[in-house]
Amino acid sequence: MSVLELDDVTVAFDGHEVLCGISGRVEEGQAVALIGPNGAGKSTLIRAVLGLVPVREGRIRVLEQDPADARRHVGYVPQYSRLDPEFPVTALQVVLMGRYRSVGWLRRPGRADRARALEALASVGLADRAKDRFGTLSGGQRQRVLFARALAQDAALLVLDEPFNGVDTTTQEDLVALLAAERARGVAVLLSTHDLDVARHACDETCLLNRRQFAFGPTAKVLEDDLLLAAFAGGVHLVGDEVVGIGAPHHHLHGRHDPTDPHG
Amino acid sequence: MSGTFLAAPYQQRALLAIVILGVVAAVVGVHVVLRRMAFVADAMSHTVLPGVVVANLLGGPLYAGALVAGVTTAMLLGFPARARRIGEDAAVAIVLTSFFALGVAIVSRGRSFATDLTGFLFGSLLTVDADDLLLMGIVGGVAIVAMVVFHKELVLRAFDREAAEAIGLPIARLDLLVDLAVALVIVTALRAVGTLLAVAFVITPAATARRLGLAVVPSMLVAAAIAALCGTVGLAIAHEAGMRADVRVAPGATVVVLLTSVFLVVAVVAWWRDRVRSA
Repeated sequence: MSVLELDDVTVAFDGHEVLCGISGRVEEGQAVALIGPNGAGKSTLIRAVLGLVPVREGRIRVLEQDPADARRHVGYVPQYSRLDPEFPVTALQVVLMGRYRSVGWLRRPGRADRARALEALASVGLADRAKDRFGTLSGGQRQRVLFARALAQDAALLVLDEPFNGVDTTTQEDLVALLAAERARGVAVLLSTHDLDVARHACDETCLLNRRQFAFGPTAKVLEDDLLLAAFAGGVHLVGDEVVGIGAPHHHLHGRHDPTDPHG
Repeated sequence: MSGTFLAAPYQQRALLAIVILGVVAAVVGVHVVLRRMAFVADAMSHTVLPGVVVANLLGGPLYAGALVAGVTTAMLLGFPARARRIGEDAAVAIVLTSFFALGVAIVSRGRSFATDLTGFLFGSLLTVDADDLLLMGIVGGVAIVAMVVFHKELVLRAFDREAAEAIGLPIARLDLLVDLAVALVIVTALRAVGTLLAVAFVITPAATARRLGLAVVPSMLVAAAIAALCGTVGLAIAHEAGMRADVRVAPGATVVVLLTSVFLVVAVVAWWRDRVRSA
């Protein structure tokens, strides 16, 4: 049984098509990267997988259910920078939120939920920061907390939206290692990223998209120059292995970025 | 008038009214401040007016009129932004001004226009009776129960809307719940401090607690304590001003001025504390 099935998916807002022709499968223990320029529809696809936007054509199945029915089994990790650092919650309280779906309405998280949350917090290396205010943590630590929240949900599918934006290298490496550990337990992963290196190291498959699907398959094959150039409308600006922009066709791939280029 | 503060039953009822309002407004207000939805409370304080005025004209209970208008406002504000095709701020402004204008237009038909309007907008704390207190307790109690029952879902929605959506929480209904709770606070405040000053009870103590950097539940307790303390001191000031200096001071407004003063003191202290920490 596939954890996630995308079957010729088309998503539209207000009658305008924003994403079309997305097809692919994510199996147990498999990780798939979503790669594409800004505005390509990566976040839209993630929202569709979470059941938050309707699919106009085609079909999305999560554990053979409609996405809205499978939310209990999907752990979502947003970017830490989208959250209010002044919000008065501790790291542990944030992680406990991952238990809310299983706790259900009208009930409070119990001891077992608290123990699971502490365990998840320990697994991201922040056991000693449980009582610290979320906003007092560094950006990388906040991203770890949000990762722990998804772990505490004991999900079958982890969905991560640009989880490495603005985090330090150590945190990125630790989270990639944690993803590998989760995959070893059979958890499937869908993550959007600008970092081709992350896709290469953390994901066996990649979905390359820009309003439509350019490729879905083994990462090494998908992240070839010609496909990337096609998806990024003719040019890709890289800093190291991170896509930082798109431009005219004379720009090139793989470290051929000119730091003095104002478009780069 | 008795010479000792709180000696007269009407003063005791006034204090009890302020304490009930303070507790209810604190619990709801903390959620409003967390969601940065103060403008909704402000709008609600204006939009209940036509309901109150119509109830007054028909000789019905003012609370019922305020409740109907408040619930109607909450439903209109809860109408999905996508369907409205205008931003939330514009929707609030349109609902606020149109409802308030409707209320003023209706009340202006009467001969006692100014007196009636002042009563609706600013209440009459010293004339609160036992029936008012009972209604305040019931209406406010409903608001508190709703906030307590859905506490964890409301906090998650306020902190991380996307994550709340992702686990299937009904965002629109949770937002409607907070809007309805604000409407209940305005109804609770109606006879005591009126519709306009009610918003101060919702926002100012909660904002003060937030500035202190407290967690969610302690914020509610501290906000309620601030409202109760300012209520007691405000009533005492109004009483003493009348007794010793023969100066009439509106007790409800005095309480609100005190609430604002406490907020300003806390804001300055917190600013100074933050500067020392960052130095």
